[in-house]
Order: sequence, then C-alpha cells, then structure tokens
Amino acid sequence: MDQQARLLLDILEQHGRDLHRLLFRLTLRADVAEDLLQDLFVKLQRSPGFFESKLPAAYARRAAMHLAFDWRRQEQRRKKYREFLGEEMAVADHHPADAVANQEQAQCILRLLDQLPPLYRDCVLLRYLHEQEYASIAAQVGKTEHQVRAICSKAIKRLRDLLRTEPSHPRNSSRS
Amino acid sequence: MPADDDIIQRIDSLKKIQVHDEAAAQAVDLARQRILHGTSRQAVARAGLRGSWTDFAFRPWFVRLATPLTVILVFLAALLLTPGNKDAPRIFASVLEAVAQTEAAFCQLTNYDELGKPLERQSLYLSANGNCRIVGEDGRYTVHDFRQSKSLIVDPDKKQGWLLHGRPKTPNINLYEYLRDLHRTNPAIELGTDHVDGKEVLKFQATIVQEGISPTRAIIWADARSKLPVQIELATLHNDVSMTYAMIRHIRFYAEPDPTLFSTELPSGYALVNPVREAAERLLYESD
Repeated sequence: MDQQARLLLDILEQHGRDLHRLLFRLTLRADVAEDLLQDLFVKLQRSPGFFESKLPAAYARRAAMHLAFDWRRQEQRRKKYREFLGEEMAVADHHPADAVANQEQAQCILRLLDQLPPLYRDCVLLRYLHEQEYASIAAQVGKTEHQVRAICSKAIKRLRDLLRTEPSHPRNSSRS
Repeated sequence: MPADDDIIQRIDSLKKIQVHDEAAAQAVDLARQRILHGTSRQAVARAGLRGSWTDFAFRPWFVRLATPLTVILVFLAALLLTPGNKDAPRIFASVLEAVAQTEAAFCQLTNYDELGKPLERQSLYLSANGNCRIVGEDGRYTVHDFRQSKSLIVDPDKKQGWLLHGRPKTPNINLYEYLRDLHRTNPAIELGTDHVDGKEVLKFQATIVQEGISPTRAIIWADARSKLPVQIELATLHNDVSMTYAMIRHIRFYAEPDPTLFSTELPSGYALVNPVREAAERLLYESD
C-alpha cells in the first residue's frame, strides 16, 4: 500500500465517524451522508492539496463541509425541477423525519448558512459546531486569529440579518 | 431573546442531531472499501458522479458518438468562456494560428473514472470540414459525415456495418471552426515549458466557471517549435480538488485529410445490417 493510501486510511479510521456525523448534520440524510463520505475520500484521493496539507484532517473536514453544501444546492435544484414536473417528493423513504427531532430548526440554519460565503460558513461551523479555538481555525483557513474573530462576528451578523427575512421567523409570521 | 442567540441556538440544534453508531460504522466501512478496492461504475452512477447512461444498452454506439464530441465541446467552451487575462500570452494566438493552417488531426482520447483509472481509449480522426472517425479499443469504428447527415458503424470482427441517416443529437462540433474563432479571445494562462514524448512543449491553462457546475480546467501542451497542441488534459475542479476525466494525447495535425478515413461506404466483404434497431436510432438521431 502506498503512502497516500495509508494517509487516507489513517484519516478515515481516526476521523471517519466524525466526518460522517458532520455530513449527516449538514444534509440531514443518512443515505446521503453515507454516499458523501465515500465521495469525499474519492476526491481526497485525487487531491494534491490534501496530501500536501499540514493539517490533512482539517482539510478533509472543510472538504466535507463544501461537499455537503454543494449537495444541498443540487438537491434544491432537483427539488425545483421535480416541482416543475409536478412529481411528488418521495424523500420520506430515504430519511424518516423523526430521525431529526428538531428538523425544522436545523433546516432553517442550514438554509441560512448556505447563503454565506464559503469562508464565513467554514469559520462559523468550525467555531460554533465544532467548538474550535480561534487560533486553531486560523491555522486551518490560512488567516490570523484576529481575522477569524472578525469573520465569525460578521458571519453571525449576516446570519442574524438573514434570519429576519426568513418566513418562519416569529417576527415575520406574526406580520402575516 | 436576541437574534444572535437565536442563531447560536439553531447551530446548537445541529449538534444535538445524533447519528447511529451502526450507520457511521457502515459508512466508514464503505469508504474504506473504496480506498482499498476502488469502485464500481454502478456505485459511481448511484453517487451521481457520472450519468447513469453508462449502463445504457446501446452504450458502445452512444459512447463512440457522444463522448469525444462532448469532450471536445467542453474543451472548446473552456477556452471560449475563460475570462480574458491581461497577461495572456500572444504565443497562444500563434498556436491557434498554426492549428488554423491544418486540415486534419489525429488524437487518442482516454476517459478516467474518479479514481484515475482509465475507462476507455478511443482514437479520433478529425477533418477540418467537421467529419470524424472514432475507433474503439476493440477495433469497431464509427464515421460521422455531418454534411451528408449520415454515419457508418463498422464491426470488423463480425464483418458487418450499420448505416445511420440523419443528424446526431449530440453537438455538431467542428474543431477547426472553433479554434479559428478563438483568435478573438485571450483565453489562456501560460504555465511555462514542459516536455512531452521528449519534445519541448509550451503549457497553457484555461478554466471555465459556470454557476451550478464544477469548474473545468483544461491544460494544453503545445509543441514549442510547430506551436501545435500535442496533448490536452481536462479536469473538473471541486473544492480545490482536481479530477482528471479525460486526456487527449498524441495529437497530430495534417495539412490534408485522408478521404478514405472519412468514407461512409461499407468496406467490401462486409454485410450491411439494416434496419438499425429503432430505439437506438430514435435515441441518437433526428431524421431529416
């Protein structure tokens, strides 16, 4: 087995479950998380950036985040297409809604996060979902600690603004 | 409750989502299998990485027709749509100029799966008038004559051929026309010099970015002396991850095409099989 395959397997053994959990939390679909985990490692296998990275696990985590949000956007397009064709959505077969108790709240924040620039989104998720220190995030995204603090602050402000425009927000629903 | 607390609370809701250990273990196991043993085409198609048309019953015909033309289309689109670079080398214009002086080309096209394994290699003969001949590894070949709206598929093993009338539904691409039009753009970034098959070559890169589609990167190697392209690599870019999906190698240009290569006449001693299966014709062709 070559060195690259060994590194991939090491990352998979040590962080595979965490990456799968992250993908599940960002897609809310068990079947999709399973597929995306495989896709992630296929992509990492072809990525010079991953093998050159000083923090391969962090690289894999960010790649997983991007993969999940890419899937969300594709799913959104597929949904619109199916609606256009008048087809019924059959998602319940894939992921029982009761698997995620607070599905609506989770979907809402994922929708908002999807509207952030990728760097903002990565920083917010690493900070608030993974509870990482600013210094650690800074090393992963190639910014200074001070810059990451500013990015997180701006991202939260942006999310706050976006939340105000959400139809499900109490302020908006009370108006209607 | 302040809105930002609400935001944090919502992100916290993601943390509370539990994943069954069994599901995680199964997902890790499948990913491990992929790393160790590669992947099947069915798994790839299921993951949506490659269209399910690969399993289509008429795949050999379809691939012979569609794949090379699609690859060329993507390559040309990449060149045409890449934003102009103020430092784009004048030398690339001379490459295009050199291409415009030729009338025929030969190249080998290899498609790859996402693990970098070659899927299929085809030899392509292209004529400046748009006609082409595509030869598979099994020796079967297809000749497309776009002017006469007909195509000939030949199976040398069985000594038989099929004649299809009408225009292919795949894009009608004329490599030469597009390359000539490229003079209007400044599409490429120069990547310096390199060596291919012992020759010194100039290397260029062009990237296409379209909303909703992973960007495509084309790398073109052109002979430093003749200025003609000798090799082209096409890759998708996804999260800074580059995945090569096609390689066009051994490109050779000729001043004159060999008309026998583009003939749609069935070779003597071969049986003409007609009618073509209706479904295949309906899928691939629009009748005139």
